[in-house]
Formats: sequence, structure tokens, C-alpha cells
Amino acid sequence: MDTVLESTMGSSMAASPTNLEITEFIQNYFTDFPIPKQKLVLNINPEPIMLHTDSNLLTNILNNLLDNAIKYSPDDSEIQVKTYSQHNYYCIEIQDNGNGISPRHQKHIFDKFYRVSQGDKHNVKGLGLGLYLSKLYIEQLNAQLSFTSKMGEGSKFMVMLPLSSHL
Amino acid sequence: MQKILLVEDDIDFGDLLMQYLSLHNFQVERVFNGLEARNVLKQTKYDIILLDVMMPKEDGFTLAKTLQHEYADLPFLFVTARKLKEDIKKGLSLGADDYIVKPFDADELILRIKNILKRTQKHIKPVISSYKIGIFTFEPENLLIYSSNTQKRLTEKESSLLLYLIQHKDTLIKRNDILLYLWDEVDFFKGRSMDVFMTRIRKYLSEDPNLHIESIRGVGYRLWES
Repeated sequence: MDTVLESTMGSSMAASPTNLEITEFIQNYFTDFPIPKQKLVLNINPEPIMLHTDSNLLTNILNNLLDNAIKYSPDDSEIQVKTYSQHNYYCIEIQDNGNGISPRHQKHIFDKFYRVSQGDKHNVKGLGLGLYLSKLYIEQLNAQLSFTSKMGEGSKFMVMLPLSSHL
Repeated sequence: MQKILLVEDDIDFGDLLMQYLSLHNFQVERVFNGLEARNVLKQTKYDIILLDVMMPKEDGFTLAKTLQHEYADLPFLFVTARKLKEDIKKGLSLGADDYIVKPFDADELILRIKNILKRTQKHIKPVISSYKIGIFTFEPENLLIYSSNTQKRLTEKESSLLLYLIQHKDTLIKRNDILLYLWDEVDFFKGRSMDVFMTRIRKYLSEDPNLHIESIRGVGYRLWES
């Protein structure tokens, strides 16, 4: 019997950057990501770009952001992903069309264990760690993570990876 | 590094839990049901197993019966949304070392795992009673550092920090790794406290001009001897 075994080494979050052709990485990542109930719309800049970054940490960040987008999006809605270069950064945007995050919650969403209960159908099982961990990984990559959100319109998270070769 | 087998079918929950456990220096392997767990247990040795209950193909209670009979020395705990008293009693009667109901505080889970491992560990690292560093002798259990001229009693955190530096002498250790070692979390204010402890330790070691605690800005520290 085939056994799917996933593993991690105790990483202590330490970044191990290597040269990465980010466009190919992003295309492969989002093509393989299973999203059964929403529609994924990709707008990926086709230009090949080399970055010096840690693909494992980046994968974890994207997993966490996409997981949240799925959790807080209604079935059959769109999740839009866009990539582009701007001001020495490679930008990855993930936009959902869920309920949005109220201003009251916005200042806490990166806090450890903080969960926005409303609209999260998986709330009972949630750990409240996805954005907290993503922020730690972002710091390791010398990258930036920001978001905008409007009630009733959804949220957009932006990962900005430095185009510089130095980490 | 201690190795955890996580048996959990929820992809997203399992993924996050793996990340967090890895952050706390556990090596984590994950399968999605009891049958897969049986397969990997035949080939790999683990220090502890975390089990969900409700899984396809084989649930956690069924797997626990196997663990009870065939892997009696391997500690395991349930991590599940099933919270009825009957479920908890059943889990514990199957030999679980603990039963954690979702949602839970992940730091609490880490502490419970560490406590179970401490109790069940068969191979205990020998305790080194003293370290020689430059002109000093450091006794971590006594919180004491002394030379032929001076003696200083350290606080527990100072002692832990100095021990960590000595154990990683000549290598770059990252700020976040030190914070996790001392406080199990990365926090701005804990970082400031660590800076204060580091300043104090530099002062204690200053009697020996050959000892250096180098700061690498934005990254971490390195203890070395010239």
C-alpha cells in the first residue's frame, strides 16, 4: 500500500536560501494546490525571475495564506492570485471574496492563537497560528507581508519578496 | 532531535501543527490514517505519536489498540475534536498518555508532549556538571561561574543563556533560536530581555580578554575564543 508520508525537520525557522526561478515555482505551486470548492483565478506574470530565497518557508507562507482564503470564502466564489514586480520586490497577491475582516479584528490577526470566528466553518479545529507563523517566516526571508480587507468584499494578502540577491 | 508521528487527516490543521512542532525543534512525520501509521511504524522509530480519532480507513481508537499491544513503550496522545466524556474515557482506557480536545492552545500541547517525553525517555543525556570556558569554570546546575580571582552567581535565565552559548561555541546562533530555547516563543519584549542578559554575560566574561561574544547585526550571536 502506498503511504503518503510528509515530514519536517525541526527547522527553528532558519532560512536556507537558494537561487529560485520564482515564476516557475509559483506556477507549479498554484497548479498543484487542491481547491475543491472555490475557483482559483491565476494572473501570473510570465517573465522568468531569479530570487535568492527559501522555497520551503515560502511554501509554508503560501499554504497558510491560501488555507485562510479557502476557509473564509464561500463555495463557488473566486480566489484570485496575481504576481508582479514592483519597486525591487516580487509581489504575490492572494485575494478572496469572503466576508472580510472587521477593523476590530484587523489589528490582531497576526497575534499568536488569534482566530476570527465569524465565517470560519473550520473554526472548531483551528489553531490560530497560520498568520503568526507566516509573519515569522516572512521575517526570516527579509520579506514583507501586508493585507487589506473590507467587510462584505473580502481580503487581499500581499507577500513581497526582495528582488535583491542579498538576504 | 525527537521524532513525532502525527496521524491526522485534516490537511490544513495537520500542516499548521507540523509547522509549529517543527518550530519547537521536533522532527515531525505525518500520515493521514491508522493504516498508514501501521505501515510507517514497522519501518521507523518514533518518540511519540499524536493521533486524531476520526479518520478514514482506520480511526484513532482502532490504531490505539494496536499501539497498546505491539508498541507498549511508545507514548501516544489523542488530539481530537471528540470531546464527550465517553470518548475521553475510551481514549485513556486504550492507554493514551493524554487526550487533548480541539480547539486547544498549541503551547499547552508542546508542554504536554515535553512532559510525556521526559517521563518516558529511556536515554537520558548525561548531565555535565561543569564547563571550562577561557579562564572560567561554569557550573550550570549551581548557577555559578568563577575564575581564580572572581566568582559570580547567575540568574537561571543568565545561566541557561550562557550554557546555550557554550554548547554552540564557535557557531552563529540566531536570535529567534535563542528566544525559543529560553522562552519557547519569539516575542519583541523577550528579545529586549535577552539583550540585557547578553550584556550582563559579556560583562561577566570580560575578565578574560580572549573570550568574545560577537553580535552579527540582525542575525544573532557567536561565542568564540581568540
